[in-house]
Amino acid sequence: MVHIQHVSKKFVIEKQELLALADINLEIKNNEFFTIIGPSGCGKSTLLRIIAGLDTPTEGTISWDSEKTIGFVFQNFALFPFLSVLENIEFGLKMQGVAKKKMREIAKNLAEEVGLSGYEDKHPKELSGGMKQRVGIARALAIDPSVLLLDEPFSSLDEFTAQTLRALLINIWEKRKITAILVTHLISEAAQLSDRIAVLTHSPGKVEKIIENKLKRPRNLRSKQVFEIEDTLSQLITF
Amino acid sequence: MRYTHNIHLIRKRKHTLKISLIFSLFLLVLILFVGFTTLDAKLFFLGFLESLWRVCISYVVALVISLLLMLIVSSTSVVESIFVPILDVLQSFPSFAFYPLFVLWFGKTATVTILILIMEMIWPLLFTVLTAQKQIRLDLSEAAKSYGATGFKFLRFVELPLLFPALVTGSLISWGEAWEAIIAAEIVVSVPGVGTYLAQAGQSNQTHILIIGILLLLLILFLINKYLWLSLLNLSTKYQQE
Repeated sequence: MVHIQHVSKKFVIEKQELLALADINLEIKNNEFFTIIGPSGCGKSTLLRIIAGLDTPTEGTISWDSEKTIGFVFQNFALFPFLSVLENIEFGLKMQGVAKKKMREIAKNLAEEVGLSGYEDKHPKELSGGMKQRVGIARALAIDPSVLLLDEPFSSLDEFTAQTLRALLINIWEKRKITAILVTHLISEAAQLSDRIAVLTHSPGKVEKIIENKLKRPRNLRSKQVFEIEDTLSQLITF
Repeated sequence: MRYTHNIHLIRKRKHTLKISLIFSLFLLVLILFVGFTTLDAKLFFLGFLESLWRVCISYVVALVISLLLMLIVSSTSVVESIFVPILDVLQSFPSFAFYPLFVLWFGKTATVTILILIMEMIWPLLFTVLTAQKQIRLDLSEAAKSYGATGFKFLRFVELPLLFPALVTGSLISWGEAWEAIIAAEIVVSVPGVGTYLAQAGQSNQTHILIIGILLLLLILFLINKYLWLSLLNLSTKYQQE
């Protein structure tokens, strides 16, 4: 479980103080698929980066009940252009000093699992957006994470590709029993994937409400219940 | 402006082919009608090798210093705000102004030419690398950080590969400046080298030797540019951020 307590974040831009996040309190359970949704500029990505330890809160704390390993998936993939697909997947393991042979084996298996067979030796430049994000997901999974943090992972993809990757993500999450924290501005994505959804308000970012989504998986995206959740979310989010 | 223009020229393959042809024709005409034999090839190439050796040493030293300066400058924003103006002033200082000082310390030796070259070569390297460092995408350095590449690991496995294209561009420019400077430096300091060889030919009124020498020098430098730096430049596209 991760406890997010009284987290605030202030930025100073050209001597002007900007409160991006105000007193955020969240508890995210193990193995949960938790989504943070809000309009752009509500500080949801900042919150995710604070959870990841990539940024520090101005006030408040993030505490974890147990040892955690974080795999981060980026909106614009953030793949290393000078590394091949396999080398990108291996990156975290290489930094940990894992033996070459073992690293290669893990990377090859993951490449196959996420649908990158035949692309192992390509470089990011030669890949489509969807393929790039497959690499991004595989890179995150390589370090065997207990938590997967996803920062608008499908926002820069076309809807068909995004839908395929959402199915892949749910598959991975169910199989590996990991905690997933997703940041998105897409209502249907939130309704489709999450167990719980925190709705953030705009500037400063505050938790407006947490919506439970107990629908069984696989979910029928055209079902009445899913539409109801989408409707509730639409009413809550103020753009 | 001149720098970008240079690189633009070298990038065009067809263009390089045309230049090679023009060069070869020109040399052929000179050899047939003026007589290549009048050039003391041995002296010329020995002089060239000496100059090349100096340029190479200076390049390595300038590269190391530039990278060290980059690390210092980028360490904190306070250091950056102090260092960058200082470096800017130093950059605009003509390297030959240090000549009397260097001679005072080292006499009229090859060391002086190397020092002048280093002073000349550091700036294009340093400033292209500093600019490129600023352009490293935030999410790439965050990805590096979140997967455990911090400190030296970040430098070795992420930053240097990302800076490789800028290093090649900077090297190309500083290499060109170095050849401009070494000819002059060798003549002024009067140490043996290709510059002195050409100067002597000029002084003894052997214009044809001078012309062939200059053309030969241009051809060799052009070939080095084409086969060393151009291939590195092509390789570096692999390292470029999207």
